[in-house]
Amino acid sequence: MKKKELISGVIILLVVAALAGFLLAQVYALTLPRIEEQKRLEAEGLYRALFPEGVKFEPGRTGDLKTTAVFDHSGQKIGLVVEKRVTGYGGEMLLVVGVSPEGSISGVKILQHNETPGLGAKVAREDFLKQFQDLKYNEVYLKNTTPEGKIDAISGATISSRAVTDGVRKVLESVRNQPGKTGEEDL
Amino acid sequence: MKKLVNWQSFTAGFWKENPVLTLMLGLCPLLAISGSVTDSIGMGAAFTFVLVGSNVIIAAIRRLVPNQVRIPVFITIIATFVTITDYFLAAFLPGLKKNLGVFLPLIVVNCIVLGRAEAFASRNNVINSLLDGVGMGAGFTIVIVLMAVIREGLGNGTLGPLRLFGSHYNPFLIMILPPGAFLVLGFLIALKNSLSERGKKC
Repeated sequence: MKKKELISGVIILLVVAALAGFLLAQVYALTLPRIEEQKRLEAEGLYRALFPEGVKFEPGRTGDLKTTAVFDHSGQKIGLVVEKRVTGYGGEMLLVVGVSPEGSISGVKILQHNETPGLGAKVAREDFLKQFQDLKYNEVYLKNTTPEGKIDAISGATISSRAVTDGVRKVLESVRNQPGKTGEEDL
Repeated sequence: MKKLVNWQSFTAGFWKENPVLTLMLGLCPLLAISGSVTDSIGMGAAFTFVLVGSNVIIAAIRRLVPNQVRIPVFITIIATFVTITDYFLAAFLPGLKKNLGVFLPLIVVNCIVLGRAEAFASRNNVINSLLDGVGMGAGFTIVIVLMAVIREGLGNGTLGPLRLFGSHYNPFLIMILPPGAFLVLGFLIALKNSLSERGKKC
């Protein structure tokens, strides 16, 4: 009697789990295209925040970095959006850097980070990130480490500030060293 | 209780057995989400959908499920509905999904949902369980939206897209912060209790 109950319980649980799995697979397949579409729209919103004139976006690679080339409505390439992972104080951060065809910075965003709230987390705020605007490759250093540096580190968060600054400079470096980086060569 | 359709099971959730104000269940999403009216409406709708769906399915299979495995079976069914909700929100309302954050998947372990499965759906027929789910869901939604109206209205001067007091309004900030949630909930429970008391005396 006891054993019989146990077996029927196992069978019921198995059937319920199998039906649930089947149903979820169907719903997943049904909604997946829409979810992908929403993710694409969100990404494009981000690209537009860096390049407001951008209308066409083309994924690619620069070295080992994920990039997206941005074109305006006349088909002219107006910049490159580069994703870069760096290690900060609290672990990995995901930076997104907009690079203009001249090789200067059009904007920096931080999509993910685990920096200390109230200290390192301030690097994700606009008043720190807007310092990068229009800087050239040789200017992206912290002020106190390099004479031509233009970035003020956040006090109490030097490690986070340096991680972001170095990450952004490395992005500019790899874009510079890439043949046909942001010019018309690769059109 | 053995009637095919018992309207009591529908109305209980609104007042007498209101899941939040009387049974004190499901307070976690209530406290966390009620800072915004729009998010609260979304939470209430998602929550009601899960509750109704799981109640109906559980009532339908209640005689087939042996006692020993009923909790895992209920949790599997609830989790399925929550995941379906999650996919649909990601596909059609990604902004709402982002705002609800972890509290959307946490509906799986919400005491109201499992509590109604245990206490009601596993002992009643499908129609009454459906009514119970709708009533309890509505009871939860009414309270969370009411709290959000008070908190967002006073704490931010807005109701969703509406500005209430004009630009000179100096917001009552604590309302939008976590302590405001406890304050408002406490006042609502006190109000509900005093009204119930008065009702008894009459």
